[in-house]
Amino acid sequence: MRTLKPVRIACTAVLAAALAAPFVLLAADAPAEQFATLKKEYDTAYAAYLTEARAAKNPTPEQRAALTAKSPLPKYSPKFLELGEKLGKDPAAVDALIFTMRIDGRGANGQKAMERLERDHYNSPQMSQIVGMLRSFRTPAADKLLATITEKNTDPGVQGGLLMSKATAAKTTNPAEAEKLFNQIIEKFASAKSATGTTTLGELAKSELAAMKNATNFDIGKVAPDIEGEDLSGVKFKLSDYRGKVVVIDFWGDW
Amino acid sequence: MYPHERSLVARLKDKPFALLGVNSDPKDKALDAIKRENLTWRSWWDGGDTSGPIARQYGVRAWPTIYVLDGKGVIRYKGVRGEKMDEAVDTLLKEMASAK
Repeated sequence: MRTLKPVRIACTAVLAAALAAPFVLLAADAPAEQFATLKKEYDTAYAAYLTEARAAKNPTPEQRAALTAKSPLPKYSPKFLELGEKLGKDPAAVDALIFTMRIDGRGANGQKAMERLERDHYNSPQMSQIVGMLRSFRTPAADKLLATITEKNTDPGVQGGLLMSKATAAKTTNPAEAEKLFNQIIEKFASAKSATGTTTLGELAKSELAAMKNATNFDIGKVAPDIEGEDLSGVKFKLSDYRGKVVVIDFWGDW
Repeated sequence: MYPHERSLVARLKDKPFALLGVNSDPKDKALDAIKRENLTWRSWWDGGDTSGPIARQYGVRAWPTIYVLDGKGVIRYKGVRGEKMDEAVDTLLKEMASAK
């Protein structure tokens, strides 16, 4: 008899939580909190899904389909979209809409999110988070959003970010143009925050320029820069020890 | 990729040729692969992950990445895999032999 007691307490707790839940949802949390709550819920669901997906080694096509059906993305993209629409002009609305397009970039909700961003939030400084990726979506909504941001957004981080994405895209197709654009960023937007907020666009552009300069040392026809290091038994050796031999350098990993 | 590279190294064991690896695994994992796959060539150990000093020096962002150098240390081919790697190496060995 006594052993039943904890069970009953647990049941009561569950019941209380279930009863309380609607009130939690009804309470008007600050917009930022509402977004954070939904995001946390999604993160938990996604982590669980990932664990399950990783555990399934060599799944059959049927198993893979069953797994895909469990993805939390279709369930959550409408929720984030709804929140983004509900929160009006608040910055948290932009967070929710951006998140919708991150998880449903080519889907219907992602398009609606981009349309809403284009209509209501084109001048938000938060657009710096997405200007780098908009180019790759190739949907009418994404192209329109990118065009409006380019034309009308007045935030230096956003305009600098636009230049940054243009420069990055030009690196392989037109290195001279890329170099010119990186230098423009250093001139005009040096102190603007990067999309992640962890560095400035000026620092990013400088490291990109340095990497581009470094990359030409690895073009066909150049002498490969020497490599010095230890082998897996801790014995030092150098690439230049192998002069006079044809050498294949293979960057590998066992994954 | 292991079987192909194993046969390339075996086929050219008497030629002026070397396959050198740059490994981005944790050390125990790399040693395990070498033992399990019977890999005979030498590798630099690049610190245990993909942001190691050699990968950074060479600006490597994708694995595997391949460079083929001639006897003078000049980069002659990049990204050649499978049969293309064999062809590249054979071409350079022939070139070296005829220059003597």
